[in-house]
Amino acid sequence: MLGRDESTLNETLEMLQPAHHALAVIDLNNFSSYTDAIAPFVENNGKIYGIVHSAGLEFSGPYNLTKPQNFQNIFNINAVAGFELARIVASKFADTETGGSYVFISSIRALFGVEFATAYSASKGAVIAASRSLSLELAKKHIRVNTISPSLVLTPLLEKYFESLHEDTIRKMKEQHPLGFGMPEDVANACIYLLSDASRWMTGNNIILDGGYSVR
Amino acid sequence: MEKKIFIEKFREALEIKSLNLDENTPLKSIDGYDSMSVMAIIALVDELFSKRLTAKQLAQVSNIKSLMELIGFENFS
Repeated sequence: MLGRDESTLNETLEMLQPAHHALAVIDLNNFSSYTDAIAPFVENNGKIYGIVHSAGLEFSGPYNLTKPQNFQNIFNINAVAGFELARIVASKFADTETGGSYVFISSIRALFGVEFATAYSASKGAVIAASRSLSLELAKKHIRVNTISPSLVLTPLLEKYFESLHEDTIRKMKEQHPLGFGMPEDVANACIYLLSDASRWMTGNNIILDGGYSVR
Repeated sequence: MEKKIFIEKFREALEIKSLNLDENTPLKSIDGYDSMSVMAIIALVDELFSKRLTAKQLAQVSNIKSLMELIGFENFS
């Protein structure tokens, strides 16, 4: 696990069943630190089979307050960080015999528009588009690349976002999801599927997890 | 930040064109003021003051003066 908040990483570590888990505290904006963070793990545990890039920044703002720096900040974390991680792992730390599976978390916002999410939607759309290209390049290494596009999942990020909304707006959003809002484990289960051999014939694809939001 | 600059940035964020805006103008008198305007104000205050207001807090705000009070008068001159 890589992330900048050590306490959050430790909290997650405590929830995991005992195994060869390891964590490294890095700022994902510091792309040059990735190799040094990953190398000790590979030395102790062997080559890397899978990646899940789930780090995300949210930015809600009207278009007239969404400036180049907002796009750059959000793209760095939501898109570039994942692809730089994939580049390093695939070129230096991947097992060329077993191949692998890389999963990038996109968003329903990449596919369905909503007000005040221009930068966020763009960054998540980039994740899907780039994954499709990358899947073709990495297929020859037997590495699969897929994305997951969740709708609203009850996370601290979402709770923070809800604070900017009127209660009626939140109620309407809930009504748009026939199965209600998602839970983090709903996304985790899709990651398990994509990392496992159960999805061995699947690459360059996008799984929509939205509790029925996009059905209508 | 000078009050008049803040009012100008407020005008730009909400794209208010015709109204003669001052710190006592009732927010609800602004044409098209709605939940989207609330989100725009939250984004504006976050950008200018690195302060994240909530929709509940803004529901208590009646005009720009009370918004400045919520942000903290010490931030204005």
